[in-house]
Amino acid sequence: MKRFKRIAAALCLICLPAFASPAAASEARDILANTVNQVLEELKKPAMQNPSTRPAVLADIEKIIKKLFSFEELSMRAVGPKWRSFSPEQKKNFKAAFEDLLRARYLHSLRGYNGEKVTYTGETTSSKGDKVEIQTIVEIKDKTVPVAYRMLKTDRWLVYDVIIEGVSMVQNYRSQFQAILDKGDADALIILVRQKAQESETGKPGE
Amino acid sequence: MLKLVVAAFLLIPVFASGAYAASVFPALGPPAAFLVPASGVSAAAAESSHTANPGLPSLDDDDAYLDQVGQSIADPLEGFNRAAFAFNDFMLESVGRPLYDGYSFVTPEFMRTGISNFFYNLNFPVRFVNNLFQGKPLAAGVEMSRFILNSTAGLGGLIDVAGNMETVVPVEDEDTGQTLGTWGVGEGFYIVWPLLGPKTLRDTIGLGGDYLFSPTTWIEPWEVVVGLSVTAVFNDLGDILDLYDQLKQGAVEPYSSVRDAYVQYRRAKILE
Repeated sequence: MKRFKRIAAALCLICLPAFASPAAASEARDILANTVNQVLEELKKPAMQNPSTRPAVLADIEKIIKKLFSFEELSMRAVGPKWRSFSPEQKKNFKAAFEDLLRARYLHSLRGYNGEKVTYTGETTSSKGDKVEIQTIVEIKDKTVPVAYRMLKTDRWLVYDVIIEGVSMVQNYRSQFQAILDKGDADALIILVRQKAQESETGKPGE
Repeated sequence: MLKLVVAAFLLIPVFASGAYAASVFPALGPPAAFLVPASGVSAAAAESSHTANPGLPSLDDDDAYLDQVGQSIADPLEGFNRAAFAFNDFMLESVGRPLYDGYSFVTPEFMRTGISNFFYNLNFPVRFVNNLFQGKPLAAGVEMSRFILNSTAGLGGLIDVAGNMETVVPVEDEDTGQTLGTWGVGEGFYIVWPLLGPKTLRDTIGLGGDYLFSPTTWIEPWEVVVGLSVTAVFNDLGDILDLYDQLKQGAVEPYSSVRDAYVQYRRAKILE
């Protein structure tokens, strides 16, 4: 089915350039919404309430979200210009550590999930049609928080940045990594990211 | 000098309001920020082609990332700022948190919400005036309506009766720092104030403006002003602590993370 959609989108690109962009955006949005609905289904499972079965559910969620994010893009973009000077080994290690950190943060954020309502408010497509920004509003208690996802088309649509209240997560990490790389090298950065990921996984601080 | 200190405390309520707190440390996101159920797609909204995040590179320019420099704002006082950041961290974790835990244990949530609503309503002139200064008469009108509703039917602001009522749906909080930004005043450099937290030079000056527009400023004697302000800040500390926790959980280099998040957030607020 997804393949058909891609073909349809591709046809639009050829025949009707003017309509190509909305099609691309909708396709990306479907992927995003699908993934998250799957996560929500997992969260609703009774097994999630039981401490002994919860790790299995979380492992399933992990598998689902892994397919939504491009950790390659996230890593490159978060490191910035110095990414080019990383050796292939360093790139691999960094990517693994950063993925662990983001996953820990994501899973941590799920613990506070309380049936928040999310509304899609808009989409923007790049002129080439290879990137989209899906804009949403998350309602938490009496507050609303704008959250946007930037997605890139490779062989499928993948998230490469999450923007909350106008703050890009990737840019935020980039400013942190820049500060670390100004003083240390890639290996020092990898160690710090790995440490933070481990700390996050054990649930500290802020418990 | 004393007046300055008072000003500082007075302004915290404005910035300590939940919405602000939620955004000082936004990179960590609200608990469910990553969750996107597929419900409620609005057809009208889906057609919109505007960019919701004008402060960031557009999608077309978003490939130049590898050549962008990381630091988003000048930070000539970094030595002092890092010390102030550490001090604020200590005050939050070792003083604020234990005190607040005790307070929230003995104070029911409805009371805390009421106090929070009260001070938010009281600071209405700051938001109203700055909406007008930024040429947003409609938003100013909404603020005015909400103020009248909440001050009367809402028992002096304790209850947010206006809530999400149609025609007076809450508008974005406007402050003097944003007004200065809208008028083209540069943001200057970054500065971390002890107790007040991260600011730009422009937002520091903006604090002075907010102070003038805040009704509590003009109460005599000043001890009452300080007392009120401390209450307002302390009552909202829970939001700040929650977000600070989330921040620490995700940040590899917390100082840079907060600096960048603050600056990105304020820029976005000015552009909206």
